[in-house]
Amino acid sequence: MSTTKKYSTVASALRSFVALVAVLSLVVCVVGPTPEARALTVDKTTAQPNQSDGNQIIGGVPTRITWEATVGDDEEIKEIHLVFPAGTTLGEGANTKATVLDGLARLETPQENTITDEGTVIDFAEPVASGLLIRVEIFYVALPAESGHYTLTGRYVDGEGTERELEESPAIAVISVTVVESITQWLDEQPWVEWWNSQLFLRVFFNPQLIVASVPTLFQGWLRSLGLVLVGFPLAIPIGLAVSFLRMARFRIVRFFASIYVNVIRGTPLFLQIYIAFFGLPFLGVSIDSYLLGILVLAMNSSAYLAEIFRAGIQSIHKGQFEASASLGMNAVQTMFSVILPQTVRRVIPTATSEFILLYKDTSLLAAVGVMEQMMFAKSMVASSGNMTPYIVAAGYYLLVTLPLTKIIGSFEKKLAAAEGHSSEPPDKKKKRKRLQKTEDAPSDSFAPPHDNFRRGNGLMGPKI
Amino acid sequence: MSKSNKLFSLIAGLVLAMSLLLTGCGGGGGSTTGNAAADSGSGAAAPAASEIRTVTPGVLTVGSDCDYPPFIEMNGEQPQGFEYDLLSAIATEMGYELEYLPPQNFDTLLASVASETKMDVGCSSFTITDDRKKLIDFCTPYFDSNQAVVALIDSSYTSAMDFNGKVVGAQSGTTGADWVRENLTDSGTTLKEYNQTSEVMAALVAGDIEGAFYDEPVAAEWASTLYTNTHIVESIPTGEQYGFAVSKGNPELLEAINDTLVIIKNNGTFDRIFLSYFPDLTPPSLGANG
Amino acid sequence: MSDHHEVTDKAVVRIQNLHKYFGSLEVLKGVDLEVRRGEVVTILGPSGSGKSTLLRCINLLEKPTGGEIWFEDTCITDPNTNINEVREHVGMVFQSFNLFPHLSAKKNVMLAQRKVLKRSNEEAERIALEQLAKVGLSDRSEYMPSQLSGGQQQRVAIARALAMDPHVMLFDEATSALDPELVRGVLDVMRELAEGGMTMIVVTHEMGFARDVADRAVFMDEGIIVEQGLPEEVFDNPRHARTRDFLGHII
Repeated sequence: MSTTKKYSTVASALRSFVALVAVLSLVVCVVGPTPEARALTVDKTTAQPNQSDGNQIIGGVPTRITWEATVGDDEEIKEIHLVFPAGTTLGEGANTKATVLDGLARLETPQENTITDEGTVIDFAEPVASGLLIRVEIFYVALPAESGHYTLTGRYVDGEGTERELEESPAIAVISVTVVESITQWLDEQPWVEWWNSQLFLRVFFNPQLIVASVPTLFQGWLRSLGLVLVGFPLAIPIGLAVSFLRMARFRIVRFFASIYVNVIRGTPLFLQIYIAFFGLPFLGVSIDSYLLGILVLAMNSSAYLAEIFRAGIQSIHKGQFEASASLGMNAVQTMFSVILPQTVRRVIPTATSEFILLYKDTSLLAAVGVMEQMMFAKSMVASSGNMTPYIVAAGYYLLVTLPLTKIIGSFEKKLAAAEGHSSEPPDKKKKRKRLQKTEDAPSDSFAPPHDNFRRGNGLMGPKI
Repeated sequence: MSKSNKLFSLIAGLVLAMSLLLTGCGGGGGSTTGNAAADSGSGAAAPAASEIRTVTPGVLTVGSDCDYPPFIEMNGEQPQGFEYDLLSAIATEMGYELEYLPPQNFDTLLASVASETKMDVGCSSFTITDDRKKLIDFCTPYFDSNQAVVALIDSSYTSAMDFNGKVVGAQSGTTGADWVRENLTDSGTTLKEYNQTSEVMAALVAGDIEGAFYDEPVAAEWASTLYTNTHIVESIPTGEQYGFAVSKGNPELLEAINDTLVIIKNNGTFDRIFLSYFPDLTPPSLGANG
Repeated sequence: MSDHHEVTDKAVVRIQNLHKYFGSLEVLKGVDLEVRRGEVVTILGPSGSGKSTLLRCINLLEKPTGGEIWFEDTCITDPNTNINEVREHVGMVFQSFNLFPHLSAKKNVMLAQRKVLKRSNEEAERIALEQLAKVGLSDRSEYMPSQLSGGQQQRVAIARALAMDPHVMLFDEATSALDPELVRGVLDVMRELAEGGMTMIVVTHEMGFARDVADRAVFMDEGIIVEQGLPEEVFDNPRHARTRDFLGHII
């Protein structure tokens, strides 16, 4: 491929540059005493984060160390002896693998490697030629349990059999074992955990170690999801209310545009709206923080649903309430805010709470566009563990919010029913009242179907055009 | 195969898989195919279809995220690419029908392979890693790959480490995401993970992320075709290798695929397919000489 | 009887040739009516005769299709009139009470005083308690409407209207929704109100009230005023067959 070619041109340019440097250093060497020319330059040393609830490297827990070095000009490398920092231990299946690359091309490199808790030896069958990159990966090796910065030292054997010291590698920052990690390690040793995890279903969905690891990690995700909905939903309320007013406005054109807003948003998937907002807006040069944009999309989506909830709520208020207010000389705004909305609020609380629950669950859709929230945290844990347990824990976190809310809705609905059913009256009177209400035009105890009073020509909102 | 037929065999396969699970019976005792192919190379016979357990008998079901050209991508409802052609050749050689599932989520694909209920082979340019090997088995590597970091052409980045402390993106569950976590250790680094690499690229073009980390061959392909306003800032030599993922509980299938890889390597089919996609690269040996 | 309070010559409400259509249905077919200050007028008639509609036109709860309505010196059918200012002075009591269910009895009476008349909280509360005392509900001021009987609710509704110092009170079948044993309390309040000199227009089926309290009885049928006069004339010597027919059915 073209890039490979490009790379090799770059690499050859690089090589001639290295040669030039070598010649210069040779000149310097003649002039005075200098440090030994390196036949092997250590490029980098890293370790794979092994923290199940973060991105750090924990001591005492197996990780994968990657060590990279480039073979110097006119040199060959036969063996590499890497020495681990004191206190390093080996995990199960610890092994070493060296990959040799010429630019981007991987070379078949037969090798015989050994590993102990003191270090690892890579013995190449054929010496590795100059200019090549040696990439050593040491699997399942645990750095010392105490926190600190650790380096790899050691020596190498060149093509002529000369042994030389390796320069010290860059340091790897290691933290000491976290609470989560020590619980996980304790669980690893429990016989019942072993039995538990030998059952496919239990292991895949309810892995004890992963439950322990997921709970603190997903807690952050939980807070973020909650943050999305706790900001987004209150934002949706005034927008929804405004739209519901527009939906009942005097002018047809206003109602028309409001209904377009409501119907387009309610008629298309939130997922699609998220994609349009996240991938579309930047094309217009609009760049918004993704968390904030997530909140805005959620608020906009929810406002359309809330608008309909509010509208139904307002229209379910009995016509008599508007008439009584009007007969007292109250204008439309006073009527709305002092009489109608206070009653509407009580009626819409159950439905609006359901909407809150829906919106809370829908925050998960934002995972698809890279907003860090519950689903995202769970997904990346599932990806790194290949196990479904983090999803189950995530489900638990969602339920932590939705179940109590569902219960609250239930009790609120009961209370509301009791309040509107005139609970303080003796039962026999209650029955009579019910009969009476039926003979009039049903007072305000029915939410649906909504009456269309607000727009009707009762002089409240002016004459209908 | 007609649709209803497919449905029928799917149900039949499920029932069979269920009964196998219930009786706790594997796919027969021990290895029957042996590794004759591995040492001689040329004379290996195609394994008989009946001896190998698959989700749907007679069908090799493959799961992929189908979003990684030139290896695999969707052309309408039809997958295409190097991996598709390669698996087609393998299935044909084995006497199996090849069936691709609709695009799968990359990050749960291996778990899906391990469960043996949906697919026989996971093939989504999987880099062979020891961690993944804990969950599933890998067949002989069929491609050597590396990482790359991609940015918009007009950005000023010159190396992968320039992205330390920046907002970057990678596909969830990939070695690219792992590379970012291991190497960009500045606390300011934010890694955004996406379901698909094309979504990572969409986020890059949208300015949501500064750099995208994924496999170099795909980055090269996309920078020259679909996302011409992006370029590879740096190719990162990692020397990783792709392999097909097969359930640990199905060593017969693993062996059959490995044997078949040797067969099509030796009869030239593999190299023909490989070079049609990567004319500048050298096809891997596939252990045919080892 | 009816002449114990003073009826002046000054018209509070003047209705001229009032027409009202609901769609294509003509409910009011040219009604003329004048109500003078201090006068108590009852409007009688079978259901569907248009009497409630007539009443509701007076404060524009129904918008007239044609004709004119004057309240004192204001033409309320003039589109330039601010109807809310007129409504401040026109109290109305509904068949279904229409108390605000989220407010206590006292707050029901206070709300419009605060919002419309901009009275201070203290003043509004004082007046509210005064009016509640007048309707005999001093001990119920903190009750919610749902805790009150229908009769009590209607009396709160009357107090609510009175707190606005109305120049005229409109009663739209104020006792029709009440259980028989509760009707009396409401009628007593209305009677006292009449005796206190309030101008009242009362749509009712309570013939006793119409006969005893009203200064004038108006009989409506099919959207027109069929006949009107002193209650005893209308009740005892109806000139019109339709009136006779109606009274024969109802008494």
